Amino acid sequence: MNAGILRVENAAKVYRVSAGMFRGGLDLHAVSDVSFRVGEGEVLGLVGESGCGKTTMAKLILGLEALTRGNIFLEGRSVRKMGHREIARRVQPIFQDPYASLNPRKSIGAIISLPLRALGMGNRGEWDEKVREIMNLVGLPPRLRHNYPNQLSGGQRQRVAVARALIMRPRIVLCDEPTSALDVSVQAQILNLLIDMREAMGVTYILISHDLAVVEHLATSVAVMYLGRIVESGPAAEIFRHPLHPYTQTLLASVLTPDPRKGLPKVSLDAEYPNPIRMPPGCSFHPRCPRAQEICRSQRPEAREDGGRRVACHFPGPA
Amino acid sequence: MSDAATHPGPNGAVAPDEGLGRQVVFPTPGQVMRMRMRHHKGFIFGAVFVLAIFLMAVFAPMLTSYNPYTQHLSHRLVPPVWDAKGTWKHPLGTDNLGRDYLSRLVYGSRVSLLIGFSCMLIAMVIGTLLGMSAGYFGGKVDMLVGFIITVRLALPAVLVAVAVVALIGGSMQVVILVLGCLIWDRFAVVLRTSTQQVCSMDYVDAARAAGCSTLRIMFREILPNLFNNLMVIATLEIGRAILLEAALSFLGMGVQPPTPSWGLMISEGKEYMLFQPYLITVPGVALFILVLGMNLLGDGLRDVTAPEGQA
Amino acid sequence: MTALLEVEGLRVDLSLPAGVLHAVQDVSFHVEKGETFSLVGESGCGKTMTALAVMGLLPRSATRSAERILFEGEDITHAHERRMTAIRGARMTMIFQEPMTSLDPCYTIGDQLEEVLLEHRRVSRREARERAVFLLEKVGITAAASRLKQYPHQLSGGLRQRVMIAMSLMCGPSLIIADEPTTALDVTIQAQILSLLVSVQKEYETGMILITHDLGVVARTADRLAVMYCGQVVETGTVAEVFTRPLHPYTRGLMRCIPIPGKTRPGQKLDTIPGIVPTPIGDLRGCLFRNRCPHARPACAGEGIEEVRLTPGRSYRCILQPEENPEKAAA
Repeated sequence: MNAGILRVENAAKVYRVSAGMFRGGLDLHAVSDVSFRVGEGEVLGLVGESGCGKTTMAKLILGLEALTRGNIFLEGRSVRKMGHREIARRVQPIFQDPYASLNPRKSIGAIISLPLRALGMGNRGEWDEKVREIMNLVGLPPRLRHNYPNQLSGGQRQRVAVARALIMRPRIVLCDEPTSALDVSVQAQILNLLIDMREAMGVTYILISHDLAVVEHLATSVAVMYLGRIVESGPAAEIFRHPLHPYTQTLLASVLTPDPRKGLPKVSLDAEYPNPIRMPPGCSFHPRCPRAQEICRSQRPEAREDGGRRVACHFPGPA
Repeated sequence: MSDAATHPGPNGAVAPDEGLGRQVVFPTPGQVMRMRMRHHKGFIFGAVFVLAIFLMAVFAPMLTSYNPYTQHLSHRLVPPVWDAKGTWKHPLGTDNLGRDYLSRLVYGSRVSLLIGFSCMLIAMVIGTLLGMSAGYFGGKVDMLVGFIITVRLALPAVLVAVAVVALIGGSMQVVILVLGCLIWDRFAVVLRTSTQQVCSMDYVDAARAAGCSTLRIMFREILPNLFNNLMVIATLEIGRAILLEAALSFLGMGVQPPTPSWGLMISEGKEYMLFQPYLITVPGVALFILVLGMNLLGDGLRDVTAPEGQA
Repeated sequence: MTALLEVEGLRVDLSLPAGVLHAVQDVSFHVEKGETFSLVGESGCGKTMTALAVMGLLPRSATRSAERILFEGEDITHAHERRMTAIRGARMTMIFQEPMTSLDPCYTIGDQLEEVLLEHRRVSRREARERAVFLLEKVGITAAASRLKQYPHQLSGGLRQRVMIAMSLMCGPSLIIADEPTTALDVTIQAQILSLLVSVQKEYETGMILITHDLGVVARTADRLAVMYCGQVVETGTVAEVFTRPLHPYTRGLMRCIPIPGKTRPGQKLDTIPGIVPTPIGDLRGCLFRNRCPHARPACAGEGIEEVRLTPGRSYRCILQPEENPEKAAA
């Protein structure tokens, strides 16, 4: 049985937004009909640009937002039936901004031990022991646990965030842009740390990022999101080498590798990124798609499965 | 370990040992605040004024041997010492019932400070609970609290206080309760915004994801970050409460005679305004100094606790 | 032929509670007409401070001193604020990083565009509006005339950045300083905006200083670059030179620690630069990179490490000889 340690089935999240003083509300479909499965020990990369719904998806998995439709199963159990403490035992987050993810009024030790204390795991004597243990594991001198976040560098703070996420050994760690706010040299340190922790603890990662280079480096499988839907998913190596969906192809072509021999890619996506409140009919990508045909404007493509890969496109294929 | 080692310096600041053979000492936020306090004129003046009045209240028995209630009917309306007819026996003169004015002033400071602090505390509790709830829960709770605040702001505080006192009679306890339940609006409004700002930070999400209950998040994660704002508003509200009490007492709707209250002293002195102006000016100046001091202190605190780079 | 902009010996100091921060130390560079010059470095290296110093937009707590700043042949080292105000926005313009906050939310796009021109030239409102429409179309905004009436909050980040580019062109400047112009934008928009900047620059022969931390952006866009670390310039050269053969250990460390799709092996640990960036406060002697450098030796702690000039445009600040560096560069 490989139902996967995390299974998302037709998840949807709709926000009600006001359209003005007297015009009532509009629906913002942040996530629509998203399904995927993550096996134990895998690293799933959720890729997309701003407004694609990946952050909302993260909040749904963490239990910080409630599903409008669909279901999410953590270790086979539905999150609709789990309290937030049971979810906390299984999934922990690492956020993007090391300056906003640590409470400035708390000591490092208090921050790292928060999951233990909130879930009532162990007693006071054990907490300090565990804090020192995890700090050593992530490469922080344990004496720092008496310091405060403002006395630490960005990289050290992100290590604290990693320590907090891992201290009670969750099965899944959800990394929301874990290195985007860090300097390049620190980024490499944190990525290496994430690789180390995965080897040491066998933890499963869900890596949300807009940085394709980072995702390509860490992920074993990838799901590409656009306007709240998954447009393509599959094993990471496959997706990066042979992308089939035109949006994935555009994304990959836009990555600027530091190669001075190449100039800027000729990426011309017509029109602006659309408003998630007013979604175009048919395929949500058709206004910007170089391959759009009549059918794309009227009919939304269903996701077709092909040997471990799924693509939602009427005309998938190499660029 | 790939990060530089850090260790606490001699005065608590962390000095990263960067391997360049020298130490850079970063002051902690507490040290920065204390440094700023030393140079902020407004803060120093405010603190001096408030401290002076506070000490006056505490050491009242040592400053005067007279009882503020004892009447010396043979020594009524004695002018203060700077007048031609004044004596050092009554440095600030006596009032129309022969009570020593210095003594009334000094014991009156206790009334003002006590009422000011107590009202502020009640208002702080009410305002903080309302403001934090509105900021954290948003939606319908926010709408409800917003409505309550609007209603409260539509009522003139003095008028409501006067009406309540007229109904149930005036006394120190009544004044404290009534005023405390009326001046929480600034707490609520400011803390609502501050709570919203704090809630937008990732560490609140992280606490929720770590399994913290709502109450725990509100009081252990959010509230400590509101302390700075709370302190500033608290000092300003003490000043406001003191002035309101003085106004009520002046109208006869606050503390009742013969309790020495600066507002009451002004009220009792207004008949003699033309020929014995000191009856009004002495408590008036004292009130002015105390409230000015409180306001300077509050403004100074706001400047001193502002993050770097903000005026 | 004199360069468009020549900066020599620029220093910027900031006073902090912990001491004097030497944000920029002895920085020299030049920008030619029509070329894209990039200031590259991580946060805190002083690249933004350098740009602000050249523009005369430093915060009040900062002190600036320089041996020479020549712009279009004019010495603006000690230029009066009035002169700088005349230059800023007209001859020398800046595009900031955050498109969400660089436009005033209270005024329409048209108002803000026209204001730039009206401030510096004696033209009529109608002429200013025509130029605004012309430039909006040039930066790829459709229905330009109707856009003039829109407010910033009605535009997306990519559109706002295009408006910023148009605004920087209103008076036909000779130098554009772009501070991380695409960092806050989506990846698919980034390439478009960068292409736009380059094409605009080529067409009007403006010089551009491109400030960024992204080596990919530098490699694909810039002609020459200067790598900054801890307030100093540690390496300069053309993009081809520096990327094929980086000479300074910091530059090499940077290039080795980025994951490159197709080059670095997925799942393998990356090379890192150990340690953290020191804070340039107080007494600074010797090489500031020595606590993180794999080739550090006692001499590195000595007095001022001089810049070694191999050719007029190629230099690096290190005591090691190029041949002594045993590693091959990241190609």
